[in-house]
Amino acid sequence: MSEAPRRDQEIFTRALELTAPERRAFLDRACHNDSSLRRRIEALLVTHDRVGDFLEQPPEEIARGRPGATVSEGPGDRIGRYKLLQQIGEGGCGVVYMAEQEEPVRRRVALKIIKPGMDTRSVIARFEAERQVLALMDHPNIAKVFDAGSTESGRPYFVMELVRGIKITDFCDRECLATEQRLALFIQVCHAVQHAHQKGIIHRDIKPSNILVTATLEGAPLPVVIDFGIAKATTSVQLTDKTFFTAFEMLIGTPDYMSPEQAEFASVDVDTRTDIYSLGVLLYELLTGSTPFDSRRLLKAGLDEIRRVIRDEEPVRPSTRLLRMTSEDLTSIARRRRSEPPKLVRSVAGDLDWIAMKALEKDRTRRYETANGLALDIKRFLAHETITARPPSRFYRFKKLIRRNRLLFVGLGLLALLLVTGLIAVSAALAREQQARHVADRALQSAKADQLKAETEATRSRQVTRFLEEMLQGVGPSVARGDDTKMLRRILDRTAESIGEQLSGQPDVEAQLRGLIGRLYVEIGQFDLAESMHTNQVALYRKSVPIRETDLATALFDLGMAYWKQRKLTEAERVLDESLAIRRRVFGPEHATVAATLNNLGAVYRRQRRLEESEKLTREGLAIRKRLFGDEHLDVAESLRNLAIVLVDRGQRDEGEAAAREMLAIRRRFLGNEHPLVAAALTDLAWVVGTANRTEEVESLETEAFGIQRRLLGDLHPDVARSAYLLGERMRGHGNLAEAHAVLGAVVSIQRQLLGEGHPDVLATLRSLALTLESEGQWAEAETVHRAAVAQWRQRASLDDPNYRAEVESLARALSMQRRYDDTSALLDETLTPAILEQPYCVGLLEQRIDLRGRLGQLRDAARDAALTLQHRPEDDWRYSVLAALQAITRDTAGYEDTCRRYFARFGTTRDAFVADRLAKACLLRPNSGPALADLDGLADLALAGVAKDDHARPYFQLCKAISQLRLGRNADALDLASKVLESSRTFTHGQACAVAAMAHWRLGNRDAARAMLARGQSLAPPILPQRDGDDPDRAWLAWIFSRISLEEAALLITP
Amino acid sequence: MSDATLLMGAVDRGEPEAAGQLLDLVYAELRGLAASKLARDVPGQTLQPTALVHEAWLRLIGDRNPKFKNRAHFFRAAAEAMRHILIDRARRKRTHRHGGGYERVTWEELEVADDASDDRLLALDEALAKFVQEHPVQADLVKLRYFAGMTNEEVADALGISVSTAKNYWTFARTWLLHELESH
Repeated sequence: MSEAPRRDQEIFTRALELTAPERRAFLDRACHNDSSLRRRIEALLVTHDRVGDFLEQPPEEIARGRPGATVSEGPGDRIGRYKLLQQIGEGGCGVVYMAEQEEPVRRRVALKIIKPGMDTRSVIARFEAERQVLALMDHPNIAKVFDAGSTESGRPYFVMELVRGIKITDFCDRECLATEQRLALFIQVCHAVQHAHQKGIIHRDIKPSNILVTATLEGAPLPVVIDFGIAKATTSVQLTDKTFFTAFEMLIGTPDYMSPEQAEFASVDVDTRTDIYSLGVLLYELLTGSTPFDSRRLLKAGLDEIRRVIRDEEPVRPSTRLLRMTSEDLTSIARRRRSEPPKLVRSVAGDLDWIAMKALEKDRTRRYETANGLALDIKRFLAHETITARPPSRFYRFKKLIRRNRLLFVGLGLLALLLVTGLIAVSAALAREQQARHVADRALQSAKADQLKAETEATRSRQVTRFLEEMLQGVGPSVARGDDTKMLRRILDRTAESIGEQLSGQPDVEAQLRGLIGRLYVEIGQFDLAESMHTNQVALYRKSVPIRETDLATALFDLGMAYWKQRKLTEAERVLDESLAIRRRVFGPEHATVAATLNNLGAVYRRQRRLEESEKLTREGLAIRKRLFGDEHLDVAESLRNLAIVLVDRGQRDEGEAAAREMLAIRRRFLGNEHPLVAAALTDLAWVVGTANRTEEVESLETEAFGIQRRLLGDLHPDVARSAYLLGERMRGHGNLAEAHAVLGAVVSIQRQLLGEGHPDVLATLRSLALTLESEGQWAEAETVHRAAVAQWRQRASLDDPNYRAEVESLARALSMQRRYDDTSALLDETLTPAILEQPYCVGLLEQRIDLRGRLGQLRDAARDAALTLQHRPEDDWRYSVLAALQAITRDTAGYEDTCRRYFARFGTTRDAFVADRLAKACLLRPNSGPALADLDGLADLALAGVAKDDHARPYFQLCKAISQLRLGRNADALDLASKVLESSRTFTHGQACAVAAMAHWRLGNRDAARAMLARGQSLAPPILPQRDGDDPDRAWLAWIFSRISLEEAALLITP
Repeated sequence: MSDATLLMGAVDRGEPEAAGQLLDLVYAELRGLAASKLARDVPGQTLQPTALVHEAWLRLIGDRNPKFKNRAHFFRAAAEAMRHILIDRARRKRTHRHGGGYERVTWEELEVADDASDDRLLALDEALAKFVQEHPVQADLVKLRYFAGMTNEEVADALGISVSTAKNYWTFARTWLLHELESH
């Protein structure tokens, strides 16, 4: 126990002195192979960042809170010029009495005695400093603070205007105030706070118990804010963790209303906007009956959790909070607001959501600047005017996500933050585009088109647009602001469902609408739904009389896109072919739509690895576009992109890069920097550059692209997901495993949702995630992920894909790392079907099975596998060596000799020391393997001479020469070399060296030495292969086989 | 010479019983001091353990100036005693608090659990018990610094390590303990 902990201390201390990248490298070295040590150190390093002055202050002063200590003051007692009448309240911070002041005026006041434990003098000093300012406050909704002092027992107290009221939340519930009435009260509270702020006074502790509702003379409810100035006086300036907790406990009582900057208690930088936040919490509570965060949960979680939640966690919107309640709770909440559940949710959803959320912004610069601003927005809401609060911009959210890295990819949480271009905007744009296309088509067809047709088409377009608008307007204002793709999804789904019913008599309109929806589905990445839309659309056009050929071609083209996105290449090819044929016939060969179709078809060919055809089509499309539009055009850029990719595929990298750069330049000129197409261009260029291994350039291109994409598309988009995947891969490559883990995990869940389980992108991400887990040493988790991927591959029946093999290999490795050899065996057996065994790529899997069988001592089976690998890969010399050894140990003499002959025939003339060493050793393993001993001795010499300088390898080569000498009868030399081998630290060679030395001794007549050496060898390589756990990268089992064969020979020679 | 001074010498000579006796003596003294302070019960006037330890020092050792090594023995005993006293108090308070099984209904909608600091202290002590298993020297250092209020320099001398090592140990110990507390 003592050794490991000391390393913890040392490594931790060293790591602290290093920069982040140095630290990683250092930890790689210092914790090599010890993943638990590394996890411990990393956890400590993370903790260190917030250790602050933990334990730096001495323990809690022990005089405080003595058990049984009682408050000495009570009714009847006199404090200064006040006589306590009765206790009217007790809170976290103290006890409140109704008291009577006798001079200079006789009046009833509220007197609040603060709990013991505070430095009374400084509390009062701080209050005195504020007294002048507090006196300036004069507002019907503010209770004045008159006085402060200290009791005889030394505790501070405050004297305030007596308000006989109940706290605002209780009042609202008791009176069953409707939401509008609650808002009216709330506006008054805002005005009070505004008044104080104008006098430079921050309340710092706004919460329902500090807002009491009493009645005006006319009987109208009047909310009064109490305790102004008290929080400031009682909050010590430098709050440490510990004193914070004390102050927290005594003053704040509940963290519910605390602003993020207050929770950040290291800072004293609190301004009027902290009150705005607390007002936001109050508003939230008035609307929903609960605070944004669950106070009980907060209190249980402890200080750091409170801090984290308040600082980092986004509260759910009030309407969402209502929706998440049990129906029982919701009904009772609604009843207390004189409403019914659905009505209440509707009234809160939208504007009130945004108002509350704006007040609750973590970043105070994004809150309402003043309490009046907040009040005004509520008034606007009540007057049905447009409010100023708006959902935060995507860019802002992006920044926030980046800042709070941990929240960056939290799967479901992210879904809620989904951002997609507003539906209205999209559909309007599409409608415009559609109309433009009609106009263009009409222009081109002007000879054929007659006026009547044009008019019906226009009518039809208007109909579609109007229908869509109506559908969309029915869903409410929050959708119009385009926050939620789920909503968009729902709308599209609903529209799609009702199309058949509502438009059954108008197939043309139905078809057109299906086209529109299909394209919108593509926009939000729902490709399967898009496919079904366009399929229907195509069917409708096929039925229409007279046949609408151009529309049919468009529908086929769109369907091709939906297929293409799902990588259904055969189908895509089919529909694109048809579309191309129609378009060529109708428009002639030189037409924009023909070029577009050529372009897409080229992309399909490229995926089918028909690269030559792909390049031809792509160039054809490019040429048409250049002739039609000139060199500088977005369509030209699109063709250039595809050309670049196909050129790189064909090995013409430089030309490809030039095309990619031209494409990027065109897009930048036309679109500026912030555009999805520019982002895509950057990614493409990054890919092209990556094929030249210019890593730094790749990184900067990808980072730029990713930034643009997220700003524009939000997170739930296949392109963004793919970029995030690349980012995760890069993190993994750099060894930032935790980050890579988080990113890839999130990407997988997003991609699964967007693309479906078996999509190649999902499989790629799964693979990357699993590799990350492996690097983290989490083999069981890696296994789960690999299994999911393997299952997908098997479902796809694309078993001839090398990626499938790689996946199985990884899974097998994850299993054997967990010492589950039976499972590993079963996996490999079921994967290595006869069909797979015929594929050259089965070698990697076979290799694993050889290792497994070798380790488990199933040597005959291993030999069979080794023979198979040799069939596929006869060019690898070491495969012969493995096979020869396996055949020798299983006493397959004929096989062994045959292998040796082939081995020598193929590699006998090598000049490579290692090849020579392996060949000689394999053939010298038995006395008569076939090749001449003189030749083998020559190879042994070659090995020794070739790498004499390499100390690491020398013992291996010495052993080789020793065996050779033994076979040639030069026993003294053999003994000499074998002894040298035994002096080396290469223990793998020792078993066989012992055998050689033993035989040499015996022949030299040193019988005892021979016996001793044999015994030593037997102990190093016992007859049964010792089982080793975990990885066996050195193939210890193979070294054991070599040792055993030689030891068996020695044992036959040497009699006891 | 006072008992304490004699005992410190005995501890230094390695006499087996001496350390325990010194601890008992310091413990008794500290308890007495704490009790008398508490009896006076002046809220708002704080009483810090470190001050208490130093007061005990004055009472037991007076103005004599023993060898630093002996000083170290005293403070180790004092740190241990102080820890006992604080933990003991916290435990008793907690029992008291949880004993009645009553729930207070107050004017406020919610109240933070009383004397959270006691719970924190008890949790810290548990963590410290774990820490001592793995890093005994660092744990000693925590007791001396935190409960007896020794400075880095004093601690380094008492433990026979360099000041920079003492600082490194202190950082490590605080981080370790915080991590331990946070993971529960």
